[in-house]
Amino acid sequence: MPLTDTDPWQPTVGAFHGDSSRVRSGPWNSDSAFRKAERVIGKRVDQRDDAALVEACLADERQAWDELIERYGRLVYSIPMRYGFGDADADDVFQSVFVILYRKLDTLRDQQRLSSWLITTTHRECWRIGRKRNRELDLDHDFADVSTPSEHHSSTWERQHLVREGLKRLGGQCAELLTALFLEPNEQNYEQIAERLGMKVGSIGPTRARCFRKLERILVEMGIDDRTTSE
Amino acid sequence: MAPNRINDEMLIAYAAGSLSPDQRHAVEMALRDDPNARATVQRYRLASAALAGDDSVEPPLNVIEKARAIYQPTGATASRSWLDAIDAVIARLIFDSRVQPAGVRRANTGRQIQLTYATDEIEVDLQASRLEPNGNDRWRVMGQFAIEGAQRDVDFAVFAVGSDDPVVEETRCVDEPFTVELPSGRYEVRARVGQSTVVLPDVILE
Repeated sequence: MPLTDTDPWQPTVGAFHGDSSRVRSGPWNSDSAFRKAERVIGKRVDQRDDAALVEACLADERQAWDELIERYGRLVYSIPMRYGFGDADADDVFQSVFVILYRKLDTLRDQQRLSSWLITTTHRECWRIGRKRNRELDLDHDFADVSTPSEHHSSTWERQHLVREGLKRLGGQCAELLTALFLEPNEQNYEQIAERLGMKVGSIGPTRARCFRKLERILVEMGIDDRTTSE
Repeated sequence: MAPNRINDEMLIAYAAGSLSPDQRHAVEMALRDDPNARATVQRYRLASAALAGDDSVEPPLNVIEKARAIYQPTGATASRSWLDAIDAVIARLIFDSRVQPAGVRRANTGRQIQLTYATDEIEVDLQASRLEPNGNDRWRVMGQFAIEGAQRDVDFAVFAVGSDDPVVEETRCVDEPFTVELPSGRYEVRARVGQSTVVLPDVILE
């Protein structure tokens, strides 16, 4: 069953307002799929969970702090950008959020996953800094509470973050293959994908299945199912 | 293919929309009795949709570097950056026995000084006693930090005015007195309480 407009997991592309150049548009061809794959995967990341990194930060391990920024920098920075903030204001939000995180490390030591807390904190800092600059944020006016992001945005952003982090942990050819196939599922591109990865076209199917099983284990371990119960 | 089991390749191909109508039908029949397989299909589609709709961007390197610099280890042997904090709170001198002799027990103010500094959160009492001179004019300074709220350790350092190197650097529990010996001179005391740095300016021992 191909993904359709009625697919419940189909993201609402264009739901984020602001500068349209920051919003993905148009189908991806295999070349751009691979370029995005390289950006998605990056380097393999540390396997420690968030609680372990927080403890390490509190134990004077600077590397743990750097890894928290590596893990969540994209998630945090993207929120003000989606809200239409300029680079300087997005930087201010980013720094504010990580200062708050640093100051509250002691209270977050039992938090298994920081993504939800960071999304809410970043959203609030956007509002706070936006008000200071008399900026009207182009946010969904369905918000019942402007101090928290909408459940839709929050769960979407968190899921995107989890998938991206899961692919980083998977690494290697599996991550490259799955990323390319996620971005361009049509079989017409299998030849290009196979050629790029040095695979036989006929091996894409079984390799995809094997690789996804690995990714699935990682995603379940990271808690992706927690975000699906409301879907 | 067994009627009620499907292999992974078929399952993932189904999730990805890569099957013929007949194959799709066969998989859907099998999925009715296999909640684990249905969960896998859902996860594949979630992951695929999440990545396809992801418009997130990486922060610039300079933004990341600034955030990295936020971190300040708390260990005594770690960076002394708290000592150099530019956002330190300057404590107010709320009592100086040399200018308020009526508030002090009868004491030889030439040999003993009492000082009290305060911020909104903490109060620091210092009592400096001139030691018997042995050719060096030295003082014994006793002090104590009092902080509202939870008990915690206080890191403090004493600097001679104009110097960047502390003459004394210690850690004490709140309400635990400390004693240091200092030559006559002008000093500044810096104390770290939680994430805040407090400065006690103009501790003059003369």
